[in-house]
Amino acid sequence: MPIRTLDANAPDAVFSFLDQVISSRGREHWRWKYRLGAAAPPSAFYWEEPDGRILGFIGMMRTNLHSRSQCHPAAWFVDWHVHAGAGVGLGLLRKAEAAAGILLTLQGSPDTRKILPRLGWKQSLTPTTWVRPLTARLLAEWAARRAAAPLRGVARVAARAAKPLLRCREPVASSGTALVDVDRFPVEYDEVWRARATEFAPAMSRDSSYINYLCADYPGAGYRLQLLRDGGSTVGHLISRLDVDRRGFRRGRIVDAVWPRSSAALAGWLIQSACWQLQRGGADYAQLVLSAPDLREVVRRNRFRCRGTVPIWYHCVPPEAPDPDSWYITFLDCDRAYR
Amino acid sequence: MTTNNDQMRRQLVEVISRVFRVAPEVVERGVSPDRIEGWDSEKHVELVVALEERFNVMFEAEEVPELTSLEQMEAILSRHA
Repeated sequence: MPIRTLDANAPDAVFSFLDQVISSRGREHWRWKYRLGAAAPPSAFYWEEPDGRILGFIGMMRTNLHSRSQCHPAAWFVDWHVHAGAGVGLGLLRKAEAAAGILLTLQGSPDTRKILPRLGWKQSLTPTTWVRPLTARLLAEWAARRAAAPLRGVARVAARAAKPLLRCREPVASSGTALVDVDRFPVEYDEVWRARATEFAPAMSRDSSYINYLCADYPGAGYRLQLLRDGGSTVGHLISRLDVDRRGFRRGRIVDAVWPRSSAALAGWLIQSACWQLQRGGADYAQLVLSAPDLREVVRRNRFRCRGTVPIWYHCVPPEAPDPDSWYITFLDCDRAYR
Repeated sequence: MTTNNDQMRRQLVEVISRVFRVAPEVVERGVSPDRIEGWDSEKHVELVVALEERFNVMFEAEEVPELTSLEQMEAILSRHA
């Protein structure tokens, strides 16, 4: 059988293949990403020829979709690469479909986008990316890029003059409301998530195990995990990340936010706090992905602008599962930058 | 008398002919990715989907890349019969 399950004892050729065709992350990264050595169901498969050549690979990050009444196994398939051989890619996809339950992917390569509809995959265009500039440096660069050549200098000066307008206000919390930094989410947080899951459903899992896997155990540093405290107890969380984008700007990501859903005031305070923290941390801009109408209103009020859709392709969604357009989606679900 | 194998061969020729837009006579002489122009991974997906629809089967993951000649298609489809 040429299709093999990726495990901790997979030959070096597989990891070399991943480093060559996906990105040069090294074995530690792939061990983390596909939970090799952990007691977890298989999440990646590769095609190995009898002579040891690796022809293709497909990898998934498993999760669960919480609807109000049920929990459905699901997986994001995040790496799908084929070296050669008509049908190897489809064979691997079939293997993943059989192993996954609901299978999801993001926009994908042009080839992926051509192939998936033919296989009955559908697309949700509800999630969108939102951006808020936080420094004059970024605004000046944006303005210069959009202005006609002779006006670029003027555009830069005008953008720098807008600096006071970019300043984030320090959020004012009612007493007892705070964000508490943690290295990892404690297992006690699962009780909080269980309560929130009914409010955020349909949503992918956000329990301590899943968040720690994605953020705390990620081999590269950068995630900031915070518990939301209100009225003397933990009621939600905020996850953010600061790094440098390809253009050299400091990118601040609001990766995920969960709060008592009925409290629009707490949602507003969370997003305002995130912006304030990211600006103090040196971010040139804040960015997030969202799909929920209530969060959309909050970020609009916090001067974010929509920058486009994040198409999500899906397959094998059971009839009793809610429509993907209604899912609560954030960067936690679909950020491939670090994965 | 038409046998099941003849019928399967005729249906296969028709599907392949339609997917790759080549004359049935060309298909009958034998097909492979080397012999049919434009048989890339995308066309292969189209072929697999068309075969599954026509024969009402779902190919196993390992079978998909094997569907590259009339003989192999017949052998695999026979296993699903």
